[in-house]
Amino acid sequence: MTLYEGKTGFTYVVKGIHLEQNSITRRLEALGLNEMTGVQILNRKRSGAFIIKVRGTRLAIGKYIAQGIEVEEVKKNA
Amino acid sequence: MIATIVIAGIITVAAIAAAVKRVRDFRNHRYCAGCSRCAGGMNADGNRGSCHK
Amino acid sequence: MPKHTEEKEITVGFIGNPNCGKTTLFNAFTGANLKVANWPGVTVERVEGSTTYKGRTIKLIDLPGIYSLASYSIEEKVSRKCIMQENIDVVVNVVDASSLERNLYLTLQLLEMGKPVILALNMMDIVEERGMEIDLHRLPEMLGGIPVVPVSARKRTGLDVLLHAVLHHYEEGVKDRVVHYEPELEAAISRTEENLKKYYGELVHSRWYAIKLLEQDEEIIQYYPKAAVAADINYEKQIIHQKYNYIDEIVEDTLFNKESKAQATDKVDKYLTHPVWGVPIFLGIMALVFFLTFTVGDFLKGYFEIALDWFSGAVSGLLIKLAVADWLQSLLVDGIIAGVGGILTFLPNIFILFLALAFLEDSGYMARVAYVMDGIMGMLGLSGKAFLPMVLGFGCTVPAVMATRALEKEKDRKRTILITPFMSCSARLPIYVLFADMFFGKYAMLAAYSLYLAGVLAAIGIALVINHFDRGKTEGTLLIELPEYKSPNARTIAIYVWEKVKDYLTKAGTTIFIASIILWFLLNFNLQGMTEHVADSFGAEIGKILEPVLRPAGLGMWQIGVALISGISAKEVVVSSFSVLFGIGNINSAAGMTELTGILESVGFTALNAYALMIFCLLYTPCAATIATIKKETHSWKWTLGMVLFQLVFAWLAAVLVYQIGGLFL
Repeated sequence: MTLYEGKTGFTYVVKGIHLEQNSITRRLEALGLNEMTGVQILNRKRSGAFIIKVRGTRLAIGKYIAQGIEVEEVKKNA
Repeated sequence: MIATIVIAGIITVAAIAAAVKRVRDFRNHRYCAGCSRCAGGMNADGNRGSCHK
Repeated sequence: MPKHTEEKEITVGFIGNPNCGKTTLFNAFTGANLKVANWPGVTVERVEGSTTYKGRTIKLIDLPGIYSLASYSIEEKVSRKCIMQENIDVVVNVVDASSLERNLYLTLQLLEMGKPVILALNMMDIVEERGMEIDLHRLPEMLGGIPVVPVSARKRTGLDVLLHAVLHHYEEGVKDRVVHYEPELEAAISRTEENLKKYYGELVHSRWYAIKLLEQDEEIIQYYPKAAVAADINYEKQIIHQKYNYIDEIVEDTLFNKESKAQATDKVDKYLTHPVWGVPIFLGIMALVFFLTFTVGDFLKGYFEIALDWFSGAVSGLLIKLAVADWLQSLLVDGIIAGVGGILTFLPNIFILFLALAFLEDSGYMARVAYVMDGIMGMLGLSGKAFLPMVLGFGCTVPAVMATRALEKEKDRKRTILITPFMSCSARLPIYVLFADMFFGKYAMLAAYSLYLAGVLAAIGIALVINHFDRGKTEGTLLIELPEYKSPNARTIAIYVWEKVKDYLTKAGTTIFIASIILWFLLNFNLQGMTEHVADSFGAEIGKILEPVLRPAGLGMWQIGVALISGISAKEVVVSSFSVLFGIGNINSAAGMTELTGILESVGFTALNAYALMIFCLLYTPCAATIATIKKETHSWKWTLGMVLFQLVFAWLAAVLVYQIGGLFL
């Protein structure tokens, strides 16, 4: 599944990043979002924008980026 | 008469100086290089979008 | 110490993430004594300076701000090459202590390069403000024993300690390997190191090269092709991941009280970035900002007016005493003092507006606005990122237009540039303050706020129409970091507000000063020389040409034509031209307003006309500085002039609509 299909409050682990624009992938990497990183969805909008928490930092990402991040569910958050 | 000339002179000089300053300021205006790195929040100089980078 | 006897110059490279305060720190050492050039072959700026400490000359090189030492961007390549090949004795790694996780990634890479590294922990004050603590004993331990020096670039503390560390450590490399990868990876690194040794002999930083080879780094592979590793196993992701795991460990061990703050932020974000309520809350916050701008600003304004009245009277008296020619008295008192002084009395409103905006910025809210608005912007075919320049536009359109550079696509940029001037900038505030106060009485604030909203709606409407004809694919590539909420720092806000106030004063002293002189000339002269009656002046002639055009919008007075034309130099000039035009010394005072209202009402200028005027001022061609900036940014006169024309027509249409439809009801 992709992060785009994820639900608010859940934590996922990144399986892969498939984005056409290499620059964004690099930027995400530098921000600490890589394979095997845990990602928690804090907030999402209908437009497909998300607020996620990666390694203690909050990032706002757009739909396109969310769709390009392949994830796997880890555990439910209370 | 003398006062008139002196004051008119001062105003002329001030106006030229102001014009020069305005143009120079505009030329040197370096504000944001649009690096999209001011990831929210301001930088150490208290600016955003004007980090002079 | 004996080892210092040769008095060699020490070269220090400053490196750090973008926005970690590196350049501020660098400047704190070097002052204005800088040498700026480009790095060989690229357009990245290279800044050098020097300082002395205990008799030693220390040369400082400011490297570009980067997140990583990979070779993907020019900045990264330049920095890497400089550290590896130039004679840098020691690297000062400037780190934003308030976001250690982010910054330590670069640090770990630097440590692997094997050069002496000193960690400058910047922004410790923010860490303290947020109630967090960093264990300054454990941190160096976990970083292979390198010196860690807390500094504050802003407060200029820790600077000597840092130089001291440079002096004492420039000869010591990293003692120990810092990141221990998992056995499998370590084995691969050792293998590669052996290969390197076999083909290229003993290398100084073989571990670094080995790691880079495993990461399939193109540049290093070119240098050492024989030692390259088969690309079938990509170690890069493992290497990054394990580095980050180590960072997690460091943060866990050295940073305290982070969680409680994070939880508070989560709680606040639940409301402020709510999918449904986020937008109304944003509008509410902006309404509050303008409410404060008006009420508090108006309260302070009174003192400015008294001062202006006094000054104007004093100058007048002095000029009479000096027997200065009448025309010069007129120029000074009715032209310059009325024009420039009139604008200065709006300073309290401007001050409050920027104070409020600074508060929103520094608290961390502003970054969230891009997220909150992402949905609406998406409908317009724009990314939420485009909203940040638009918010900047509430302050001044010039930096806002420049900030559109953050948008990658040319098309997105032009769209954003087109609609940004509709975000009502602070220069238009005096117009609203004046006319709303004069004609709307207790509803003044509402009238002014409605103009801000009208601006936003106009921007949205135009973007919608463009998007309808030329469907832009929403990229959805919004990517910004949301800082944790914090109580704003007084110093940061003071700097921010002072910058803006300074800009405003500079503008009053330059653009508005010159505009007032020109305006005075146009209004007091005609082909026969100086004239007694304004109605016979050059200005009146020009204004009269516009009169018929502006009549359908309820603005059919030649004076308004003159005011609007002069407003292109800077929008505040619309207000100063009213004072010059009607000879009102202190337009922003109660007496001045009553006088002007009286004059205007006597010719049938009512609240509706005033509203049409404000709408026109909101929407019509931005000031000359903005036009020049847009030309600079789009590199096209054609596009720029097209935009100017479009805005003129659009403003006229909107004002006509307001006046005509309003006329039906009133």
